[in-house]
Amino acid sequence: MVIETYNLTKQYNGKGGCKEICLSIKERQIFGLLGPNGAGKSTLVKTLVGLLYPTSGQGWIFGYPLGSIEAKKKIGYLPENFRYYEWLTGYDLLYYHGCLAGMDKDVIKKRIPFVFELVGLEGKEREKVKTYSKGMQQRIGIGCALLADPDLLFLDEPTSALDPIGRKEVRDIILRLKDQGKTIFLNSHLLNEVEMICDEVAIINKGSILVKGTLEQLLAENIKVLLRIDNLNPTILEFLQTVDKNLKKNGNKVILTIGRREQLPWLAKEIIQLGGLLSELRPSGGSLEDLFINMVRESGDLNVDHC
Amino acid sequence: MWTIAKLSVQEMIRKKVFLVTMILTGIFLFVYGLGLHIAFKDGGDNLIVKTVIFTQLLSAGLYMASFIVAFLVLFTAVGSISTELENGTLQTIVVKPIKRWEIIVGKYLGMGMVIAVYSIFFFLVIIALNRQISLPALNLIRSLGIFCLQGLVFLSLVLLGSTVFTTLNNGIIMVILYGIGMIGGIVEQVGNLIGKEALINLGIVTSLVVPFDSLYRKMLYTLFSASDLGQLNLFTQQGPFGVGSQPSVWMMVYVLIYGSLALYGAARIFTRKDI
Ligand SMILES: Nc1ncnc2c1ncn2[C@@H]1O[C@H](COP(=O)(O)OP(=O)(O)O)[C@@H](O)[C@H]1O
Ligand SMILES: [Mg+2]
Repeated sequence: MVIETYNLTKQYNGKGGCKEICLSIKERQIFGLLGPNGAGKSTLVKTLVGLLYPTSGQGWIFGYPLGSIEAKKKIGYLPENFRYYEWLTGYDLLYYHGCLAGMDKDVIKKRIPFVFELVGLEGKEREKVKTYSKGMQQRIGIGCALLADPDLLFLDEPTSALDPIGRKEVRDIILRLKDQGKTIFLNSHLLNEVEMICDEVAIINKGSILVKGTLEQLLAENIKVLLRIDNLNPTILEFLQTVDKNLKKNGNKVILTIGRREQLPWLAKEIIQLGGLLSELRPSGGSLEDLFINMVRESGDLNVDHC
Repeated sequence: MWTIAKLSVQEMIRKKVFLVTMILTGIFLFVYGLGLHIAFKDGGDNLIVKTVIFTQLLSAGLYMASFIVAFLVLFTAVGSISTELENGTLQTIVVKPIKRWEIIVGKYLGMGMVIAVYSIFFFLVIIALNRQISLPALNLIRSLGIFCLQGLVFLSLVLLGSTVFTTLNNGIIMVILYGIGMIGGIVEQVGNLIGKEALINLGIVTSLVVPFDSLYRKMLYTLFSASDLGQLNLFTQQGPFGVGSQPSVWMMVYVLIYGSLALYGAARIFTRKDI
């Protein structure tokens, strides 16, 4: 496992932050931590990279304890509100980060042009960071994070401040890094972005993880189905309530949630066997958005994921 | 560690406050030199009067120099940690595979190097302007060392403050502390002059809390202390910038421990800090 945490908790004077996080993340994939603003994403990442000390629980990166030098050797980090020494040129900034990462001077000099190429900033090496546009600064930030060729990258909302083109560019960089065999831990509140590039997803709200799994798993689960049954009677309704006790009824329409897509034919068969005139059965696309909104809206203690 | 030291040197030198300090130092030295020149020309022929005037002027020059060095220390180090915490530049540094204390020590070394070079330059120019007073080389070197120590010890205190307080609060607290040290020194001089034990004790207590004034007086005493300057020695004891009583060797030991502890404290606090 690249990252493992056990009940990892970081709270600020007993409030906020993130609580009892249990994760195990495999290598060579993009892991998306999805949650609304203030959910605790940044807190979790900062704890993982060793900026914050956990209030309780434990975590390991490549088997090394969080915050240890060995763990730090393996990671690159792009903070959410990143700021660099803006008076340095792009080249000097990367050079300086290479020195701090303990890299050999010759290695740094060989690696810098490669990184500039990777993040698409060729030709900007000698310009001061403060003259860079927002998107360029984001990319030089990613450059700093991956200069030392870490196996694990933490990117905290790397596209939030960017326009659609900038977002696409950063997504492409992330996908290229995955192809190179890196593991990427991506914080985001942008659903479609996570949906587009992540292999595994965890949804976090109010500091707790609500669901986690591969994208396919999550999308196959929790499907919302709209049913129109012309002769909706108490018997049928009773049956439907055994499927989802929180269903919503509106006239002869019912909206309910089922666990797996494979349940759909079974559901139709049962309704018809009960004499129901099923005139419409519409599963709502199994989108991450539905899942996300359901999860976040309903996030009571019941939903919280534990170890 | 050395990377961080190198970068803090670069950062310090490119700051506006550094340039301004350099220009003001130039102006100060010019005015001071002019004053000395005029005093020397119109100082009369009485050797004793002349000697008194010159020791006073030299003491005053070094006093001002200590003060200006302290200001440079204050302005460069006041936000060295807190500002970078506030604007987030430290985040990408702290995640690098280095110990957190290396960041503190690196910054200290970087800023300390600039402060030391500046102190040496300032001290030597003031001595050169006062070349009418011939002083033994050993005295010069010794007191130059103590002069540098003033800035370096203050630097460790300001750095410590920067790991604990916000930049603004740190600035206020450090100015007040330094001010207390100056007042404490004057109180002790006055106490000596009028023989009031209570005042002397008050001065001693303040110099334990903020020992910069003791350093200044030790520096001055060391400068004038050689035997063949016995007469000169007497004159240096007088006036607001004079040394009535010499801080003991133990005071020097105390100051060194004080500075080291402040730096150690800064490293320790920073190591345990959430960033
Ligand atoms: N330094 C801090 N001190 C106190 N509370 C904080 C601090 N940082 C974050 N919080 C609180 O912790 C919660 C999670 O914040 P954060 O991790 O920044 O969320 P996200 O990155 O998901 O937007 C929020 O409620 C926030 O108010
Ligand atoms: Mg955040």
